Parts: sequence; structure tokens; C-alpha cells
Amino acid sequence: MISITAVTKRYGPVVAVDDVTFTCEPGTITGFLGPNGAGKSTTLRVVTGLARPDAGGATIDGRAFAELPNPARVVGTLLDASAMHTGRTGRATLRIAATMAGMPPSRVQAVLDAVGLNGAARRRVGTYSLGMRQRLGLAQALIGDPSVLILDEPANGLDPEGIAWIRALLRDFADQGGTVLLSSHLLAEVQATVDHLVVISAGKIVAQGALTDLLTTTGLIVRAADQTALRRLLTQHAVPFSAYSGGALRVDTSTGVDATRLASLAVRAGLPLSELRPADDAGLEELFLSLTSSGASAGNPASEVTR
Amino acid sequence: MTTAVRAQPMPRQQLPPISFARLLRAEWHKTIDTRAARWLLAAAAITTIGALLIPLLFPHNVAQSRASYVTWAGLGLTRLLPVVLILAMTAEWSQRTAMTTFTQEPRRARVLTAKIVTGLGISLFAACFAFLAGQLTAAAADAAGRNVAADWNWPRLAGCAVFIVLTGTIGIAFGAWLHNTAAAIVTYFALGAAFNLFTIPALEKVGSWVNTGQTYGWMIEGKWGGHGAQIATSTLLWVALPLTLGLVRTLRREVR
Repeated sequence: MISITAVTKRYGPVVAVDDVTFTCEPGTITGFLGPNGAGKSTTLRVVTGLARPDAGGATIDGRAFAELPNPARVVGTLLDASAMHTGRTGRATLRIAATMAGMPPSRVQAVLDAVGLNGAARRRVGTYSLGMRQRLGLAQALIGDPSVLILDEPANGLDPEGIAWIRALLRDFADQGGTVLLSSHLLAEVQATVDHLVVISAGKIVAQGALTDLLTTTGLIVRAADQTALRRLLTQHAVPFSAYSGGALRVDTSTGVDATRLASLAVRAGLPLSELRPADDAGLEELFLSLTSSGASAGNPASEVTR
Repeated sequence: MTTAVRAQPMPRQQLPPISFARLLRAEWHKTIDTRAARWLLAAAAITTIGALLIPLLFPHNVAQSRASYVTWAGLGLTRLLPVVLILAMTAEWSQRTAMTTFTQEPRRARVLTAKIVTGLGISLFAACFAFLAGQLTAAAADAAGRNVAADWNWPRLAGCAVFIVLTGTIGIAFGAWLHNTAAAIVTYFALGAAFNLFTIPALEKVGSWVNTGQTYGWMIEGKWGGHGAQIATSTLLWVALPLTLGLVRTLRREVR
């Protein structure tokens, strides 16, 4: 279990992470999603004790990272696959990690098998592709047989087959009670992998919850040939709406407006509608773009969508 | 799926801490298992042997004694030994492995201590190597008919050993302080060159306290008497000071 509480981190005048709070439960995979530079890596470095927060803190199984007697036995980390000594072989890299974690030498072979790097274990890391370094980094994270995994952009550099493989590996890890926190800036990458989603933009959390909840968006998509008339009609009847892709509008149904009411309003105004449907197929991408687009106000998924 | 990825739901925070012996083992591997380190160690062995050719080939210019041979071996060895140790200290930052190391052991002072102890160990090992190489070469020269005095000049032999270890320690200190491999190596050699300024008469007095080229020269020659304070001062300046700065910097620096 990972708890992150009110973490704020500044670099000079820049607030890299702004009051970030969320938890990751055992048995689940949490996706930490946000565009590049949103504060994902900084948050993960605060969690792993590599950076000091200006406010707030984080715990792993109830303890601050720096207080874990042997962190690798509790939490495996892969924060940057390119942060490896290029002049060392893959096997030597893992042997050092195993030595520090107090694991037997046989563990090196076990994790090499697990990530499929056996053939390259005697080669220097400098000759590895980014995908191979990701695999080695994951092997390093697994070396202490941890119950928590913290991975920063683990799918970076992996081919589609590799992404499917890491997805299965993490699913299996979580299904056996493990806690996984992984970051990504690519939505498609996490959509099929995670149970929970935490979306960060410009240092702030803009949405979080179970993937299924976030996918079920309330609202109606309504479209008319005469868009201006439709906007006027909705404004007239005080129906809240926002722009949706392709010139359609998304109507906020939390105020009690439903499809019947919208249809009757349109009929009475003599305005033919070309589309009227629930917005539940809006999809995560729509959500992601709306949440992280510039100008989107925090916590308001219904704000203007920019494509 | 293999057992390698089986997660353990049971609490693990109560496991014993990482023992210092384990940190030492890890640091020892790190120091010698990279390609660069192996080449440098091999090169240091070659410069040692190369330096031994000097008393061997110029018997009329170089004193033919056991201690002299050992001194030459020590001088050859210390050309590259500090570089090996600079590399060992800076790799975490230049190769960015600090990210793994300090998540595996967040108590950074322990890691740094293990690095320093490992570096001292390698320096001691190097001193033994120089002693053996010097003795063997002297014995060989003696056996070949040259008259090599078996003077066991202990202040001198001890001076040579301390010289090797302290020279290695300067490498350790510069690496610990500067974190950047290129910067540490350049600074180390540039400083050695700058010490030549202390031959200017006006600076000689200062030099006798800060120039390790001079103070450690007394040490190698076994002239401990009267120079203890000067040797100690130059060591404080070039070993203790950068090492302290390095400790502070390592504890505070954020890993990115």
C-alpha cells in the first residue's frame, strides 16, 4: 500500500507538484497519468525518498521510504531505465542489486528468466536497446521479491509484444496481492492495464478513481445542423453545456435534464437534432484530453475540449 | 508466470537492515566489475612495472636498494590509482546509478562510507602490490648479479605505503566531492600541475604546507621528522576537506 499525502514540491518559483494526495491499494494497479512535465516523475522521486518534498509526505506500508530497513524487499523501483552503468553487464548489474538486498545469487537467474533477458545477460548494458534496459530495470525492481512496485514509464521503448508482456506480468503481480503504481503519458498504454487512475496536470491532480467510474461519464451528446441555434436554445433554458468534439455539445445531466426534455425543447423550437445520445462512449481519451488540456480548470471534466 | 514475480502480501518492513558487510561487497563489485575499471587497473599495473624499469635500466643514477625499488613501484602505481578511485566514487552520479543505489539504501552516509572503505581497501591492496613488485624486481636484479642493498629502511617503506594509500584517498575525496567523472579527473591533474607554482621562491613557504608533491615527497623518502605537521596539513586540505564537502553534498543532492 502506497499513501501519498499533500505532497508539494517546488523548484525555485516553479511548483512541480502541488498538493498531491492519493493512495494505491494492494491487489490493484494504479496508473499515474499526465502529459510530459506534469509532475509524475517528481512525485515518484518524492515517494522513493530521492527528492525532498516542501510539504506533505508519502509512506509505503505505513512507513516513510527512508525508514524501510531494506527497501528493496518491500518496494521494487524502476524510475529511469537509462540510469544504468553502461560498462557493466546485465548480470553484474543484477548481482549488485541482489547483494545489497541480501538475496541469494540464484535470484539473479530467476529474475533474468522472468524478464526474458537470459540471452543478453553477459553483454554490457551499453549495448542494450531501451526496451532491453526496461526489462533489466524491471528485473532489478523484482530482485528483492517486493510486494510493491513503483515504475516510471515502464512501457517506454517496449514494442507491442513487450507491452502485452509487461501488462500480463503486472496483472499477475497485482492479482497475488501486490501493489503497483506506474506512470505514463500515453493513455492507450494504461487503459488496458490499470484498475485505478490518477490524472495529473501541471502538478495538480485533476481526476482520480476507479477506471470504470472515470469511464462512465454523465451527460448527453447533442448535435444539430444549426449549432448556433442549439447553443441559443440551451442557454435560453438554462441548460449547462460544454463543447464536445466535432462541433457537438455535451450537456451536463447532473441538473436533471434528460434526453426527453432536450428532445421536446428542440421540437418546440423547431430545431432538428442530428444526434442525441448518452456520453458514455466519450472514452478515456476524451477525458484525458479534457482534463489536461491547457485552460481546463482543475477537477472539472466538462470544460472546453481542445483537439 | 514464473515464481520470480510472485508478490508477497505479508508485511516486510520488519526485515533486518542491510548489513555494512553487504554494502562493502556491493561496492567492491561496483569498483571492479566495469570495463573502464578493469582497463584502468590493468594500466596501473603496467605503469608500476614500467616505473620499475627505471632502477633496473639506470643502475648508476638510481640507488640500488630494496627500498628504492619499492618506492619506484609506488610512484608508478600512483599515476593511475586515484583515477580508478575517482571513477568508483563518481559513477553513481555520472552513470546515474545513484537512482538505484539510494532507493536500495536510503541511508546515503552508509553507502558513502562503504565506498570510502572499499577505496581504502583497494589502495592498501595496491600498496601491497607495489611492495611485492618492488621486492621481486630487486630480488631478480640481485640474482642477475647486480648488488642490491637489502636495507630495510622502515620509515621509508612505511612512507611509501602511506603515500600510496593517501594518494588513493585524494582520488576518493575528489570523486566524492565533485560527483562528475571528467571534472574530478581534470581537477586532480590540474591541481598536480598547479603545484609546480610552489617552486617559485615567494611561494615555497606556503607550498611546504599545502603542496602534496613536496610533503608526500618527504614521506616517500622516510623524512617524517620535522615534517609531520606539514604532511598532516596538506592531507587535511586535499583529503579531509573534499571528503567532508562530498559527504554533505551526497547527503543533500536530489537524484534526478
